[in-house]
Amino acid sequence: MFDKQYIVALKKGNPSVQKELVDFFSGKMLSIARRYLADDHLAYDVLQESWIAIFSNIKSYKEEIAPLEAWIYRIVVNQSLKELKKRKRNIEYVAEFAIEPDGIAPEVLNTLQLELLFNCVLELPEGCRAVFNMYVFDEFSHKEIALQLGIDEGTSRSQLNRARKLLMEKINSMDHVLIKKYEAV
Amino acid sequence: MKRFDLKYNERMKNHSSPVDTEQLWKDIQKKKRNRLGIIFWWAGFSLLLTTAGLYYFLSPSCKSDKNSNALQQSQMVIAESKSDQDKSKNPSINPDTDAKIKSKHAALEPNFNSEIANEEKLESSRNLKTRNQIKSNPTDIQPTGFHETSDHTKSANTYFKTNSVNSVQSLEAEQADLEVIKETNSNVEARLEFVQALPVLLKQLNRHSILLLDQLKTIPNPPTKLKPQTIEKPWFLQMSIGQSLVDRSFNANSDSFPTRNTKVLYAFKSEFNLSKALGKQFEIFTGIQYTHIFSQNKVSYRSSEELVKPKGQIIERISLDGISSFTEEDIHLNRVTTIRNTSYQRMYLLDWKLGVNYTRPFNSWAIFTNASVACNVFTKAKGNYLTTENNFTQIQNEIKHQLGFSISGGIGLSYLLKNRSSISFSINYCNYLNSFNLNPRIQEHYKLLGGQLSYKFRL
Repeated sequence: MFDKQYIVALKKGNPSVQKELVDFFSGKMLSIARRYLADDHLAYDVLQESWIAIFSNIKSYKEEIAPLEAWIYRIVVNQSLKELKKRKRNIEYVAEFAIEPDGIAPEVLNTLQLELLFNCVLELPEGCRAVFNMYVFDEFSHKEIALQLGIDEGTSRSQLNRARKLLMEKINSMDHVLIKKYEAV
Repeated sequence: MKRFDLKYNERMKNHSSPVDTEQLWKDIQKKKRNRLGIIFWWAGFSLLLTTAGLYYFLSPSCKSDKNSNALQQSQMVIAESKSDQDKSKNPSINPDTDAKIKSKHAALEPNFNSEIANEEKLESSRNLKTRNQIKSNPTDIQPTGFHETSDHTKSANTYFKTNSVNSVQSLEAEQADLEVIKETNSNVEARLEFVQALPVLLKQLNRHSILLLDQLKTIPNPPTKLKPQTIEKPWFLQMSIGQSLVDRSFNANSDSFPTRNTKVLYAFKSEFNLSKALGKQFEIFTGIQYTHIFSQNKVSYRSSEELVKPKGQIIERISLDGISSFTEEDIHLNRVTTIRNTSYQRMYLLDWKLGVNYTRPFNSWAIFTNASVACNVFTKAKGNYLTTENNFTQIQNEIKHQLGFSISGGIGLSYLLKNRSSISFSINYCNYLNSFNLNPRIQEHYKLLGGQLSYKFRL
């Protein structure tokens, strides 16, 4: 999609190409920032910072290493993590014993609206939300998560488990509500 | 779990939040500008600060009267030198350019005379050139058929009308050249002016530096209280008081001397030590220690021996004077022991100590440990002893004057006070190696364990 000419123009700092890029990627980027920060204003700030970082570092981007979109999304993730670290004092990573959450059929996820699923993630506690986002969506390993967030690998695992458990509980309750609504109709 | 994660990821992959990209683009541009502005202001501010700093450090001080007078003098000298230069006939700065100027003028105006050229030159060279210089080359002027005009533009217009376009263009170019030449000429003159003034400035600088040195000499040096640094090895005097428990031990023969078998006594100690530092942490000390040992004796003595039947019936009783009349085979022997609290004992010891002390300071606090050897220089004991197996007691005075030795050690914590003194608390152990009994059959040893408070000050 983004051919070499496009990237060269981008590297030269062509404003129209930059604007095009902003139009194309901003929605998804804002979604990522919101997932991490659960605050729309903060996410919007992070989005702006990310774009400034992208435009100022575009010359160091090498297309043979990673596709442009992956590079851009990683910058948003990094900016979001940076913002999270700033507010690290408020984050509580409660170490828990790994409790196997109640099973849930993954097909249930298909029945739910995308926005509902997104809100479920936003409602997670900050600590385990970050771990869940990094592990599930952005494919960090537990080692990398531990390094980025300054926690133990064990804590990362337990937080992930906790996030899964909470999500499943939420989805289950939502499912019941939906069933009830359906029955009522 | 893996399936749950994958499914969630799959569903969320395409999630996109609505965003006003136009507004976002504007905000990004605004933020960029703001950042540039911040960088610009920072750069400007730092430049200003640097300039101010350089000006402050490099500009000459003109505060003192002497300096201002000197400055005035130097300014006068410069002015004089300038006027001298004006008066004197200096050689032309650039004879070639002068000639060029003249030739140009001559080319423009046929009536161009040396007077006008001189005026122009004078104006441009600002009093550094004389008319004679320009007059020196009148032959360069070539009249070209132009008449009656002192105004260059006028003559140029006339020329336009009468001559071909090419010649007009060349004239314009020449005029421009002329202006450039004039400008360069004035620059060169300004430089020359500076070069000519340079020796005078250097002279003044030299004078200023001498004045400055004179002024510096008048500034009194602050009184210095610093002494050359040497490793100090001060003397200290330490005064201590303390209390100890005395473990008194006897050998097996003590049974024969029933009046002195009290196990624990109490001691009160006072000590004066004079010490000298060997380095920052070690010091050697010597001193006198006075120890007062006292106790209320619980006298226990074996008053008699009885030979009894197995059921307890006494067969025979004998009084003791220290030696038993029964043999060890008599299994029914019953030794009668009487305990009385009526006797007491006092002992006075005076020791001369020699030892080393190691201190490790931590801010105002210090921990220390010491070890010493001592010899008894005086020992006296006084007590109310039971002399016989009866209840009769008799005061006895003993002088235990034999020379004895002891070793001791301690560990403590001290707090350094403001006036080079310290208070400390230590726990000490002392073992007397000699026997305190004149009877060679009786080994009477003392071991002291206790604490003491000390005050130490520098002499």
